[in-house]
Amino acid sequence: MPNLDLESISPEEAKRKLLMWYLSSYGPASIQDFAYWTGFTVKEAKHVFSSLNDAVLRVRIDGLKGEFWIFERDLKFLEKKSPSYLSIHLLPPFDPLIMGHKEKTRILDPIHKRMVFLPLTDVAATVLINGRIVGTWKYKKGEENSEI
Amino acid sequence: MDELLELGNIKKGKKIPKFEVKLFGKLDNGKIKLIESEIERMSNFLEVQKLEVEIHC
Repeated sequence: MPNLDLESISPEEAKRKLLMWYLSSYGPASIQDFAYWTGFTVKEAKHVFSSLNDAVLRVRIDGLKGEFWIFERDLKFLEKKSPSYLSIHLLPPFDPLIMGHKEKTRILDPIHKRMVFLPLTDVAATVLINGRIVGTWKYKKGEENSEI
Repeated sequence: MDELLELGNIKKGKKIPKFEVKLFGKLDNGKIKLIESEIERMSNFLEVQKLEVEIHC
């Protein structure tokens, strides 16, 4: 990438922008979630969070420990969403929704964690109902001689 | 890469795609029907006339 100007942005500003993009996609999220996703240390992630402005709010989530950050506009959207709405999604292996947070209990009962996060760092394709993982799915090879 | 090659074969119409779902617990029939519908919707791009769906609880 010969035209890439690494001096056009400071490391601090680049990390701050990364956090803003992360929260846009994964908020509400915690400092630990951001550290998990980026590979930063928690201390480093905490330092980046200290650069946040008023557009980001600090919230708590029922059933989860700690504090989470979310954009105000996203919080307003979530507050309008009807809890009675039934949604079903089939996600592929390693889907970003599954990989974006350290804390998995928001999407998965801990007793099923080993059925989704498999040995050798493999991650299963998942079935979600209303944002929570209720099972896994996989595509299997068809019979060799079967014709459609 | 194997997965991509496999999808290529299916597109030629030589194999019946089979989807296996393992649920962590029991779900009511309405939700299972919705999962089956979602698999069919997701499979539209395969351009096949038939697919198999196995759902295990």
